[in-house]
Amino acid sequence: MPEPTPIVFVVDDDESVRKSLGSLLRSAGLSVETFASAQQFLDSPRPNSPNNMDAPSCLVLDVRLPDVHGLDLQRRMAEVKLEIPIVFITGHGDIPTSVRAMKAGAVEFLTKPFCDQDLLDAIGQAIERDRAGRRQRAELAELRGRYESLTPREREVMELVVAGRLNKQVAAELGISEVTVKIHRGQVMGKMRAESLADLVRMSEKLGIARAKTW
Amino acid sequence: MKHNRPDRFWRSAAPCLFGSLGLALLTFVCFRLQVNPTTVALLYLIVIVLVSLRGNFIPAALVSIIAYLFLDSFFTAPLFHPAMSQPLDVVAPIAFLTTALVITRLMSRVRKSFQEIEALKDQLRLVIDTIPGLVWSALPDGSAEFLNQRWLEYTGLSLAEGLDWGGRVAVHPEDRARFVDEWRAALAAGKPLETEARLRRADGEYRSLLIRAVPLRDEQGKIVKWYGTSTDIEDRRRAEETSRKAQAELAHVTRVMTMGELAASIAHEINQPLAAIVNNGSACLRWLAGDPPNLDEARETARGIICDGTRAGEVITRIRALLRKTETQKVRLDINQIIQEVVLLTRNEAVRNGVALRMELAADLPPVLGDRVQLQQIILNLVINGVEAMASVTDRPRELLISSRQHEADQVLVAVEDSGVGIDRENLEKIFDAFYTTKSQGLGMGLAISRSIVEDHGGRLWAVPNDGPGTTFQFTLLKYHEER
Repeated sequence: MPEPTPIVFVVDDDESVRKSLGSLLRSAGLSVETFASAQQFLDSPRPNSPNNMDAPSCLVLDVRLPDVHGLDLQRRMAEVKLEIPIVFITGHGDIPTSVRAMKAGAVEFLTKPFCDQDLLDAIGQAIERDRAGRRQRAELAELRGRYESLTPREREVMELVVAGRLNKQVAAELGISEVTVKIHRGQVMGKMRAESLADLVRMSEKLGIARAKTW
Repeated sequence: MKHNRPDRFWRSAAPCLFGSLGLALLTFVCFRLQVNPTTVALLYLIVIVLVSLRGNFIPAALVSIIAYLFLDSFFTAPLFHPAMSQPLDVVAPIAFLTTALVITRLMSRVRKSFQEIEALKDQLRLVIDTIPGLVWSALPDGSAEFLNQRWLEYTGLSLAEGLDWGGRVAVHPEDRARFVDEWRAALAAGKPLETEARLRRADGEYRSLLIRAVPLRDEQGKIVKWYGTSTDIEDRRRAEETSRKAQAELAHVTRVMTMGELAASIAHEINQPLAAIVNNGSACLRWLAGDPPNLDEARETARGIICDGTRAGEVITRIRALLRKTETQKVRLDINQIIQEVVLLTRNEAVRNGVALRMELAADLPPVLGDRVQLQQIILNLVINGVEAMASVTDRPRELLISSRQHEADQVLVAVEDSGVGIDRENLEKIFDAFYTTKSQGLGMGLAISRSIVEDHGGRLWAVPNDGPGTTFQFTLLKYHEER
């Protein structure tokens, strides 16, 4: 299945800037959706469910908006786990604002007027980041699904195994026979589709289920 | 005072002497001509009157006694022999003397009042000639009748020249026709005249004079005379001009400073269309570079470039107009348009400070008479002040409302309402004082200048505390009248 065209969301209160950005991005083969205010962007149905969308996307955001400050929108998006990479644009960039934006995870901070290539590069980078993020999220969702298919006992076994215990130790800790541990362990490797113990450890790290060592 | 005594002595002695001589001569002539005594007595009385006109009471009394003695000696029988034998001899001299003395007394009274009138006339003349003003009178036809000494000295014209022309010759050639027209109109209407004209002073310099004239009417209401004064107002005029220029200069400086405060917003206001132009230019090239080129999109972006270029140009034009140093030019203006222009410049400043800028402009307001730049300056100043007044407000929305409406019958009112920290009642007037400021940077001239501009427009600028938080600044302007 070919990947759908990346979507760029543009939020800028100035109509002519908005329109010109739209045209520029469309000329570069991107699809664009423009919004005059932060609220309009948040209210629109698409960005609220970006994780379900197939197309990678990014947000081109004017720092100074009449309703909400660009940095505040960035924070609010992080709060609601709206993970779209942001490229900030501003009429007059000051260093504190740009530092805060970058620290909060912005891809780029461009001062108007900017060179088209700079913007397109930043957008390309942002989309790449979104794509990677998306892949990661998809992977994680997949892993989580597999993990969810484990029985409680299997999960217990997995936790102890990735913590580095031998089958004997696991059996002792859970009060079951070593043979049963082996069967559970085989089940875990199969359900999690892990090719090796190292693979399983990596997966558990991603899932964040590495248990604190007790010895 | 030394020569005063002989002077006074001669004032009494001379009439005595001349009176006696006159009587002697008269007696001699009458005696030879055998004139009858009654006629002689009358002639004597005339001499006495003449004496009393020249001198005071004493010479007149002396001359009267001498006259009686002559009359008794030369004209009544028996001649050369004064006798008191008959009652008539007693009654006649007493009657004659009494008549003579009464006449003398009366005449000296008359003489005295004549002298007083003369003195009063001299005094009046002195007042009129020394009064620091050019005083004149004219006949109902407008020709000059009297010109005071100051007038003659001021213009350097002779009385004859002045009377002949009524000073018209001294009026500046450029003002002459207008002045003559106004004077004729006043004469025809019989209404007081008040006008200004430049008059040539004796040294050849033309100076502005304020000329005023009022008619004097008789009981029937017919104009008898015109009285007028002309006052040199050149120095005052120049001082006013200087002060007006200084004020314009100061207004310009404060305007530039205000614009300085707006610098960031203005830069943004220009930067936006520039950014759009750059974007559109890049997009245009890309659309053209496609295979096949997308001409429709390219055309659309080119149009965008034109629009944005025009927009940036307009912003610059507006700023330049505000920064330009111009003479005050009062013209017919739409105040709502002025407000909108200012809002375009300050919109960004408001957004930057988190202020919602709202307008409530009354439709079909009458036009006002005013100077575009100066009125923009006032509104700009009030808007910036309002935005700054709300800088520390965090617990409520920061709102700035600019409204316009009709005020009374002949005025338009503009109000700028903020929801800021407000102003203490005791400072509501102080804020209009020069150099009064609450800002760390600022001359404290903004409101003082604004008020003087509004007053120069015949309006009023004042501040009122809101019922809720904040302050409302409002000013009135006069409606534009066609005939001005």
